[in-house]
Amino acid sequence: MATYVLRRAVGYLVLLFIAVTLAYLLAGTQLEPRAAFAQQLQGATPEGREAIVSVLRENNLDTSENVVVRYGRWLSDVVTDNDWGVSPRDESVREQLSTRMWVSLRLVTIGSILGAAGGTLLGAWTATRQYKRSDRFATLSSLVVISIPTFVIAIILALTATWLNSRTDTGFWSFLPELQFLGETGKHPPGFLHGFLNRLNHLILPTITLALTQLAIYSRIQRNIMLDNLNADYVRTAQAKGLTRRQAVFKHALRTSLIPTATYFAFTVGLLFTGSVFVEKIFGWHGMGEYLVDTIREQDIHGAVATAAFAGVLVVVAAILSEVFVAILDPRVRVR
Amino acid sequence: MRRTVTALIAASALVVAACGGDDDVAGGVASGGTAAPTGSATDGTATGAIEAGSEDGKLSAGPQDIEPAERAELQHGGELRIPISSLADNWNGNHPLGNEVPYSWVRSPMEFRPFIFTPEGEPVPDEDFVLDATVDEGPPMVVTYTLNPEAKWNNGDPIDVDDFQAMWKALNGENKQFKVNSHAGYDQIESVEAGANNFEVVVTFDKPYPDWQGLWLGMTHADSMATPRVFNTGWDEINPDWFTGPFVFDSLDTAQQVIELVPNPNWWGDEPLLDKLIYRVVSADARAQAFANGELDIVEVGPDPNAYQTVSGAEGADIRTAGGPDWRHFTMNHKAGVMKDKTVRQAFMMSIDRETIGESDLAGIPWPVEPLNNHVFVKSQEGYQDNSNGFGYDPQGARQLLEDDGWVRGDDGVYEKDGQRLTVELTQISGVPVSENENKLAQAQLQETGFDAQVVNVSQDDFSDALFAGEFQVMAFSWIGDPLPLDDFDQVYGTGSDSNFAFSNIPEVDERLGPLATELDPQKRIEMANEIDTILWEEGHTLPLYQRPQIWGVSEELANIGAFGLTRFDTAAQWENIGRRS
Repeated sequence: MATYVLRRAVGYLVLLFIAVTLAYLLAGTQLEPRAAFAQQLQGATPEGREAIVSVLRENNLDTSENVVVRYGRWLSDVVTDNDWGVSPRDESVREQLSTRMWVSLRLVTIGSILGAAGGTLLGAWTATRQYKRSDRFATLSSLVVISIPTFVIAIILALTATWLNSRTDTGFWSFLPELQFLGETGKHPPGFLHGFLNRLNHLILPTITLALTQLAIYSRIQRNIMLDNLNADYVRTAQAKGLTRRQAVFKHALRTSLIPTATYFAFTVGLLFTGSVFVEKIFGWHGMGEYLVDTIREQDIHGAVATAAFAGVLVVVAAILSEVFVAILDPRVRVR
Repeated sequence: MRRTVTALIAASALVVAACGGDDDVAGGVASGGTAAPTGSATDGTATGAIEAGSEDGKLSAGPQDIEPAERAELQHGGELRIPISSLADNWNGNHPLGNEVPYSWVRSPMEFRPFIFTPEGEPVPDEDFVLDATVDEGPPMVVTYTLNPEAKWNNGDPIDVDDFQAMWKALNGENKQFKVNSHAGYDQIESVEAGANNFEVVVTFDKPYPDWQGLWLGMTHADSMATPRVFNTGWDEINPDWFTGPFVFDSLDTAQQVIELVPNPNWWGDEPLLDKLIYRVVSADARAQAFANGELDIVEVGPDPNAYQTVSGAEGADIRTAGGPDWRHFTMNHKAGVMKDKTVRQAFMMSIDRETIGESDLAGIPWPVEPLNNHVFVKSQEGYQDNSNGFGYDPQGARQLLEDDGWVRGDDGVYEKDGQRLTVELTQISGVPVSENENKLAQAQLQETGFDAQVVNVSQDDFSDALFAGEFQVMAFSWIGDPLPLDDFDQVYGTGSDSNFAFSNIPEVDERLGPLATELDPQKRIEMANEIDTILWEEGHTLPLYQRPQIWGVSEELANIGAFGLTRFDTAAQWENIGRRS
């Protein structure tokens, strides 16, 4: 087992290296750091323009140089100093990454757990109630949520919050706290509890957005897998052995049908970091999703490569994680 | 974008409005109207020369709109939450990496500045720093600054001649190791010396420099510019010791991307009214909604009808507007295709209905769009006059002009001459809505005249390369944020100059640019500039479309902040006086 995992890990690392190299070659040839200064260059004095070009050259961002040469220099910095380079505006990529990944973590944790757990339960439950009114209602609403793009959901929530807030001063809604949707916390009264509650308040809207979409998708997946298993022979056998329907469903059908969901979960968690672009943009969080889009838009070669590397690492971690999940859920794997 | 502000001197006199406080606009001249005291977006009171709000329901295109108020009317306390687009990794405003508008918003309340510009564009010494500045026209031209001896950097050092010398040496271009945005002005200084004492600074120029009031804006402690190393790479964090001003750096949160400034305990001027300035990085798309939800106090709307709707409909919001220094235009490449021909360029200009284009660009925003008929001055500026001389919209005249020049209209409606079809390529920047819109409309209008107009795409990334290389015939873009029409005028219109994207060679213009750059009499300068402008219209260099609006949403009780117009916030905002009405 250990050698097997090790061999897999080495394979993943080689893959990761190739992916990052390709990402560099792609970004290094397609992005043009000078374009990040287009507006400035257009009105700039000759000295200003020269200064920009020389700064880019010093930062290994001069695209008139051969991309392979630039790649070599970048790679040796990464290997020797763990220095991932700087953006065209001289911002350290490593610092950005190390700040932003925690921001993303804070943003997606609750939402994805709520979404995955809630969706799985909902899916399992509706499967046992196939074609009943509750099942149809759940199916319909999750299809509606799935077909609305995330940014529309986010904007609808933001509008609703503004509307609610305009009513919290008086009347029915006055028990609600003022819903905020910018960032984690702008200002809050001193004290741990206040700080914590304030953070929670800022999390409400993005969390609902993330959880809703996740919930809808998981409930669909789980329901379908569950349906396959509910009618499987072994469930019937379990019931024949004397288990109640309920016991058979929970101990046998649910467990089996969790395996594919767990694999799916592992991989989505990895991608959630870079996938929450709209949520971050709309609710003013500065995490990895925003970074992914911004680095490309701002012609930030090093930033874009680092994001690709980060996503690659997450996929690898997710793959390992999913194998662990499967091992836990599937006795056949453990025995092997 | 230069940080100098001087040409505003030329922008003086005409403009009246914003100074009047809440009451009506004095006199019939000029106008501006500024916002009504109620903060209503529809300000019908404006009248007069700038014509702005004269049409019912239109916003005011006046010179400035900041809801001015006396300190006594305002309460102490409160915060001001300002969205910015990013944090700097180099906070040095004279370095190209630090030279961005959002960074100046953060720096401005902590900066040294010699002059404040009134809404009329008149420079008045900022007495917190400079008690007096006198100019001796010479030759040689000498400016003597009398500094406020109380003025100190945050580390306690006095602000004196040493700082002026350090800034001059860093920016004058002699030491190429300093990476600077622009030498303009500093490279014309011969010496910076102490006068009677260290608080009297005598600056001698080697030739007359009319825009001298723009120098020394945003000066920082001499230590911050002492060596190229510090100047270029020592600014990754805001070092409070190098700054001064009514506010001081308090905290930076990199995860939230929030910077907070608090009142400066060592400040010797009027005590700031606000308790805190909070700058938060918010993506442009999210700002209007965040403002509507009361999470931001001020937001720039820009040419976005949805944002305008959201902001103007928000509770407690006041829309403040002014004509800005930016303008849209078509640049015509004198070295490309049929545009080489002066008659064709003239016919091109006469074929474009600029009002329709402007209204379409700003659809959904009640802005009084008018064609801009001057290359030098925008409408709300002193010196503006219509120099278009018949080269405005006149498709019939355009056809006449072409036919007189031997062009014959073919069966398909396109003119031809000596076997050459009148084909013009319009280069649009794909993904930029105004650019796409302008080119689409221009294409239809040109075809109406008898051009065979083709729209070609350039990506946003390749746009500046195409521009510099002259790989286009006609391209629309903005001249951005330079309120100083004359300081870098030769850069855009002189033969072989750096930003002459029309690649023009007009001797009549060239011979007038030199004298313009050294003329010290503002009125004379305006006349000279307009004379050049008339030639530019005749030659067809750039077709100005319209002056871009400045539209800000501001929480209504905030006073002394909003749309600063041509003077810009960093030369006009008095941060200690910004506050909320009681």
